[in-house]
Amino acid sequence: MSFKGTTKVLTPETTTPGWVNFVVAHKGEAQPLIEHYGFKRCKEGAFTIYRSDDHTHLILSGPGKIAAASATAYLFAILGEHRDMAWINFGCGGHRDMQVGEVCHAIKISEHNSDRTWYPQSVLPHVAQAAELMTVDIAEKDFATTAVYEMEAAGYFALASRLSSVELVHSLKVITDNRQTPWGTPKQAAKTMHTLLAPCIALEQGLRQLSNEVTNRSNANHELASTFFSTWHFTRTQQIQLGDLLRRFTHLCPETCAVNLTKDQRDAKGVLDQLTTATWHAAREFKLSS
Amino acid sequence: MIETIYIEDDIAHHPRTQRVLARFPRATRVPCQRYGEVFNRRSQNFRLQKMRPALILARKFDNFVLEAPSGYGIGGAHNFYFSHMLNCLYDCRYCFLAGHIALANYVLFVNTEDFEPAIEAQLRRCNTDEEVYFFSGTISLIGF
Repeated sequence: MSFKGTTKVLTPETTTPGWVNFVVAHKGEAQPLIEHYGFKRCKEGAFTIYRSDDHTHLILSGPGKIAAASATAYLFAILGEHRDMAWINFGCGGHRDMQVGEVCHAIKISEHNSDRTWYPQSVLPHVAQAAELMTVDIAEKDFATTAVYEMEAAGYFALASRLSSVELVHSLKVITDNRQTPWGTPKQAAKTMHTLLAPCIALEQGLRQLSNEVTNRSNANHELASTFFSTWHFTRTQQIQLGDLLRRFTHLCPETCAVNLTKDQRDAKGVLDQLTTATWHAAREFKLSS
Repeated sequence: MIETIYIEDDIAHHPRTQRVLARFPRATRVPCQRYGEVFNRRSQNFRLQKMRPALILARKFDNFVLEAPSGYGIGGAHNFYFSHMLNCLYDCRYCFLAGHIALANYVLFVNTEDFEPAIEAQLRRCNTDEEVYFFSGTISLIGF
C-alpha cells in the first residue's frame, strides 16, 4: 500500500477484496484491537488512522455521533472510496439492568430526540446478544428504556450504510455502566473492553469474507457495464437503467451475451430498448412454457 | 430458517403475529413502526440477504386488490391479484422475476381479514355473468 502524500489518499497497489474498518471513539476502547491486530498508526490528521498488515483499518473518532460520522466518511475517502468494505463500530455503552462486561450486537439503532432509526441486517450469526442501541448526546444516567445507551452508533451507521451494503455495517458494544455501576472514566471503561474482543474477531472474520464476495461480484458487474460505457455514452439515468436491465437479463438469459446482442446498436437508447425487449420476450417465453 | 423477525408495533398482538412468532421461538425480535423502515431502505444486497433472510410482519393498509396487467391473467374476463406477502422463499435458478426487487427479506401482511372485504367489493363491481379470477401471489406479482 502506498501513501500518496500530496493527495493524502491511501490506496493499495493492487485491488484487494475483503476490507474491514473499525470506528472507535477512544484510544482506550481501541487498545484490545490494536494489540490483537497489530495496528500501527499510519496517519495523523483530522483523525488518527491505524492500519494492520492485511488491509484492516481503525480510526479514532472521538466521542459523539457527529465525530463518528465524520470519521467514517474521512476513512472512506482516505481509502479511495471502495464501496464494498465492511464496517464495525466498537465501543462501550450503558444499560439499565445488564451486567458490566456483557456484550451486545446491535439490531436496531435509534437516535435520541428524533424519529430516526436504523436496522443493521445480520446475515451472519449474532456474535453476542442482540440489543437495541439508543444514541444520546451526553452520557446517560437514568436509562429510561431497555436500550443500550451510547454516543456514536447513530452517526456512524447513518454514514457507513450509505457507503456500503447495510449487511456489512455493524456495531458491537460492551456494557460499562448501569444503574448500580455508574459511568466512570474512559480508562476505567477500557478495562472491560477485552470481553468484546472475541465476538469482534468472529464478526470481523465473517464480514471480511462477505466483503470479499461482494467485491468480486461487483467487479464482474462493473466489468460488464464498463464494456457498454466504453462503447456508447450513457447518461446517469441510463446507467442506472442499464444496471437494472443487466441484472434481469443475466437472470433470464444466462446463455446470451448482452454485449454481443447489442453490438449493432447506434446509441445508448437503442441498447436499452433492445435489452428491454429481449428481457420481456424471455419472461413471456418462460411464462408460456410453464 | 428465520433468525430475525421484525414486527410492526401496530400488529404486535395480532393473533396471526403470535402464531408466526410461536413457530420461531428462537428468532430475534425487532420492533419497528412500519415495514418500510426495514424493507425500503437503500444500500441492501440481495445476495447477502438471501443467505439469511429476515421476516417482517406488517399490516397492509391499501391496494389490497389490484388488476393483473393485460396478458398476465389466468383466464376469464377479469383477473385480479392480491399480495399477502412480498418476496419469495425460493431462489429458483430459472426465475424470470429475480432481480426485480433488490432485497431478499420477506414481508408478511398478517391482516388477511382486511383482504376479504376488498375482494368482495371488487366482485360487486364486476358483471355477474363474467368469469372473474383472483390470484394470490408474492413477489410474482410485485414484479409487474
